[in-house]
Amino acid sequence: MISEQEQQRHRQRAAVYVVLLMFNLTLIILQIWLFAGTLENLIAGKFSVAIPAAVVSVICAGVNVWMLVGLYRMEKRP
Amino acid sequence: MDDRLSKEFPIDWEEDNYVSRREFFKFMTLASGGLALGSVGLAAWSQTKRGEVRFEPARIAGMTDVEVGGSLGFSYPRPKDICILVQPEPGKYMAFSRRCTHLSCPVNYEHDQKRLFCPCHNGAFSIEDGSVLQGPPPHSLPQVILEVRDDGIFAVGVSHGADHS
Ligand code: FES
Repeated sequence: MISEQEQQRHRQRAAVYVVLLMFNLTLIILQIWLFAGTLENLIAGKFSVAIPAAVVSVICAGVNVWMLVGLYRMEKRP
Repeated sequence: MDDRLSKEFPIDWEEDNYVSRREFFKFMTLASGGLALGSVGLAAWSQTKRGEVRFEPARIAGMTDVEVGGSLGFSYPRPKDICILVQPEPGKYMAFSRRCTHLSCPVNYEHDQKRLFCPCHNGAFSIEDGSVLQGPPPHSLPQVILEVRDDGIFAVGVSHGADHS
């Protein structure tokens, strides 16, 4: 049986997960938007947006990885 | 009863949900990495597309094949890449892709107006650099880089216009 305290901790962690997951999804939507926009611009012959969009997309992916690492660390904590 | 059940099947539903959330987070992070990689790929591809690209030189005309004010069609670098060679002034040769950048209609040379004209939607390009003078074309015509040699006029590469920024 899980103690009340442990259950409370699980609930807290679950809440943290949901918040971070929301943020993760927001960043992914931003990345999809950037990718589609870049593609559209490239087809129209405008090449100037591709590099800034790639940089922002890489930063978003970096933040997502950072959050995932943070979650693993949180799980390991007693 | 409940106590016995928990002892025999010690499934912690909180923990179970928690793991699937973690898996989902992992999957979404992977997708995010994939999107970032795709964007980097597009950026790299865009760099190869801008500026001058050199191809195998090809003889496109003899020195007397195009008169002043006249034009000549040719294909470069692939057979389907239709282009147009013009001589706007004596000894000055220019060549551009013939495909209008709007909807790909072939453009015609108008010597008196010093432009390449697209009859489909009245688009026009400058004969100096292929830039858009009027109409719906979104960007300039790619210019074919020429070399005038003793034995004729050679196409050696393609340059994308100044507005391909
Ligand atoms: S196709 Fe040339 S202006 Fe539309």
